[in-house]
Amino acid sequence: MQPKSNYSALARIVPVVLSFATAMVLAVVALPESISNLRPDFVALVLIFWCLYHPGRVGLLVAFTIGLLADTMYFGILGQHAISKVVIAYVILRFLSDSDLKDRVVQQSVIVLLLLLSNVLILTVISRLVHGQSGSYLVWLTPFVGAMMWYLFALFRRKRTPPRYGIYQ
Amino acid sequence: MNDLRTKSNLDLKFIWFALIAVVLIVLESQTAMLRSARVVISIPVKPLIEVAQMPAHVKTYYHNIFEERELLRELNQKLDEENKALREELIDLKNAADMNLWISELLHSSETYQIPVISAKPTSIQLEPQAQKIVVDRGSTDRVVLGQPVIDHRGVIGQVTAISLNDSAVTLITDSTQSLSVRVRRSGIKAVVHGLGDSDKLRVSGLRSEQDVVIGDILVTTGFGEKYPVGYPVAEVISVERDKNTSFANVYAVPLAAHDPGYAVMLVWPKTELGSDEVPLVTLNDATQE
Repeated sequence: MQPKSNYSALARIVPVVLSFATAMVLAVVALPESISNLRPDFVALVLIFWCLYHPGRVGLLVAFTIGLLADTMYFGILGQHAISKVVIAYVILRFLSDSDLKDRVVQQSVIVLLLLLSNVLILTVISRLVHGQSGSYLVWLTPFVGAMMWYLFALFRRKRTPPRYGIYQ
Repeated sequence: MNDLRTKSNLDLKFIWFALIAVVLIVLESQTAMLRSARVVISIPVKPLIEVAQMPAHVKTYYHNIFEERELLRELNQKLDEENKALREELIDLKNAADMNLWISELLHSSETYQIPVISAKPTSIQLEPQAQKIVVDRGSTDRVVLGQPVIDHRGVIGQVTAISLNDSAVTLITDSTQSLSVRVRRSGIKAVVHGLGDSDKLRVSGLRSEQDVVIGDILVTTGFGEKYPVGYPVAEVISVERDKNTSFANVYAVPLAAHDPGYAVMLVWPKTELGSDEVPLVTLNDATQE
């Protein structure tokens, strides 16, 4: 069972909504072409964060909904991001919720890398099945960028968070 | 989260969501059933699209303020000259249009000269890097239809492939899923242009080695399949290689359309898409008068 939180329901939901909204904006905002192709799947990163640190706040339904919204936002195939996000949330909530990843910045980054790679794999397979095209290989670099961002973020977070504060509250 | 029941519950939920997603993907790729679903789902996303365009708006705003006077004067002069030249051309075109109308009346042709079009602005939204796509600010409320051709003042841009409430995605002719039938304007030879996923290169197939194609030739639409308007410029031939071993020539072309975020584009309604009872929103003549 999820431990009882001190926050009100609204205070629990608002950060989730805002973070996903920010991630979706970052995914489509115009950037110089050299950086633009390397940006990681921010929506996936945010989803990983919530699933790892606050598993009570997001579940498969949230992952599915966010994925579907992302699909319309990117004008992609409906269901493509939905399934890849559901897979990410499922893997974390089902298999990683027992493991103690607190403060293990490197292990966390490796897991993030693997999750982002599987995310790209699912997206590529689906667009290949539907459109019959392989697209740019550059997309396989984005998980590494994402994992690096996660590493820096986790280092920063470890420094700031007092040691008594646990991952799962 | 640790007890066995929640875990098997999670497994079940996962199977359900994965199934729904797979059904969505299959429906999306095989049918047009999800067209309106996309429009509905896009409503909560609309504010995010607006926010994502803000940096570009701010950039153009400041660019407009600080752009040097001299540059503006030069630009003004250039545009003025261009405008004069275009006006002269327009007079010729109007004459030709009148003549055309007169001839088609003589021939009792039921086909009208006017093509329904609507202008749209490309947004600064960047879609997935591997896709050659742009987003324009017209959607289902403007009666945009799937497969609708998009052109600009220089040539064919692409066609609409996904529509939300107020925006739609245009897949460029340079996308690797796209190909269209063309003919060489100078010699009239037919060929097919294929996108390569490269923004400034197109492959031209179906031209035999002995056929008359040279560098600099303009390829125009044939109107085959009535998707694109007839005779509209598509690309300019940049390389022709004739290999003795094969009977076909290796021809590459560069797309003519500018699709620069600053320029407006035109969405054209194919003849078959608008019924006779539906009045076109803007006709070509209205658009040129604006």
